[in-house]
Amino acid sequence: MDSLEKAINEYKSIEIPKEELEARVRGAIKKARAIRAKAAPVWAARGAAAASGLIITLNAAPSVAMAAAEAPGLRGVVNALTFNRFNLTDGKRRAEVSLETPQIAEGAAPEAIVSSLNAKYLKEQREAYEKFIADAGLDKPDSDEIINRSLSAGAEVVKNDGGLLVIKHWTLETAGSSLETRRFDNIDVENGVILSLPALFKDDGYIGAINAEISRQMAEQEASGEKTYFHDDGYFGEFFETISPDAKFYINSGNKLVIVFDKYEIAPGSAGLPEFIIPTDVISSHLAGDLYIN
Amino acid sequence: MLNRIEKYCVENRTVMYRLAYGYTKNRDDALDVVSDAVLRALTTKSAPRGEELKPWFYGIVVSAALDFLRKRKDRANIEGGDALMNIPASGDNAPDEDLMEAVNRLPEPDRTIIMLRFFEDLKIEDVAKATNLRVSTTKTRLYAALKKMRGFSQLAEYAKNTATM
Repeated sequence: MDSLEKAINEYKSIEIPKEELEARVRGAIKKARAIRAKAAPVWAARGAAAASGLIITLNAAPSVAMAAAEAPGLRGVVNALTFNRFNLTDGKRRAEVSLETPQIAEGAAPEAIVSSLNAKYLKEQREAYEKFIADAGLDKPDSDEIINRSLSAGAEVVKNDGGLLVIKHWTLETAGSSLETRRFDNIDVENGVILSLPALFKDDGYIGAINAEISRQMAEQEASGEKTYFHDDGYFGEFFETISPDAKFYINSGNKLVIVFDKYEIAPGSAGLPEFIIPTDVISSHLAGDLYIN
Repeated sequence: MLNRIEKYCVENRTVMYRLAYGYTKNRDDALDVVSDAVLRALTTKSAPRGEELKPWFYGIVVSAALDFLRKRKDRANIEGGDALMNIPASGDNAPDEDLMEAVNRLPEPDRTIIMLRFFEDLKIEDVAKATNLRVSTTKTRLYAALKKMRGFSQLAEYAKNTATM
């Protein structure tokens, strides 16, 4: 065998650590997706921000006392505190923050629940805000990085029928493209409990039943061309397999169970945050009762 | 669902690993290079299409590998050893010396040119694109490199026969 052939052979016959290689490529793709979700829009915004000739003033310090000055605007049982709204521009950097912190009114639910949820909402938004400031580099006054981002957060009452109070709270971060997160609290006002998904059912059969229904709706939406979802392409773990007992859910105004997924969790970003309304008859044999869902 | 470049990375993962290993000669380091190359490929603003994709992709793996080696060298220097810079005096190719070792001893970008041209079988034009060199420069360096490894006449022969590819 001549030396070239030998060398090429040697080069081509190295052992490939198949599983690890696959895992590393998959990991890097995932990481790149996360980076793109954040950074790509900043590239896109660069030209626009430079061209618009924004007035260069720092009209709000990026240090805001979150729990200061309550300005309750009454919206039914949930008061929105709208004191955290400011713009920050200094030419290169443009950030808008608009946070409406939901606060459940006293007496709308048992005291312990009201205070713990209100504390949770404040904490959540404070954390979202601090993360936003750090991610955007706004905590570094001398940074040269070009920033064009916004953060908003708020809440709405999905359902309030005297028995159940359902609050949806969300954050929306945009840096060109947007990333929304939605969370729900389903509160049994009469009994003073925050509902968990497993607590709605008397056995574990609900998981299989809901999975089957979600798969059915996904297939239906894909067939009609309405939405696309991730599938098992052999390389990604990101596709719908099963809900977990702590899946995001809420009970809608029609007393139907709705299962919610995050953006990118089971579908490309274009699909938004997929929600599946589960017809009650597919889960009725597993329901603990018809108090909440019927 | 994988996008175009993600799919390309997945499909070419073995090629990436092989090339990375060609530089690092070490499994774990090669995996690091692959991971970095995928990240670079996917976070670049615009990836080319069609025939331009292949040399562009190779170029990314090469620069990820070279950056890695640079860092490894810095680290080795800081740690006080230069065991990784295992470069013997050049010029005397013992007749039984492994061609692979001779390639490894070439300075950059000659080593990359040789690896892409012979081991990965890229066209000269694609090697030039991957290394960001002019075609004429690539050819010149290729022959200079072959001359340096003059013990390997067959390689030179092969290069001559395929020079028009």
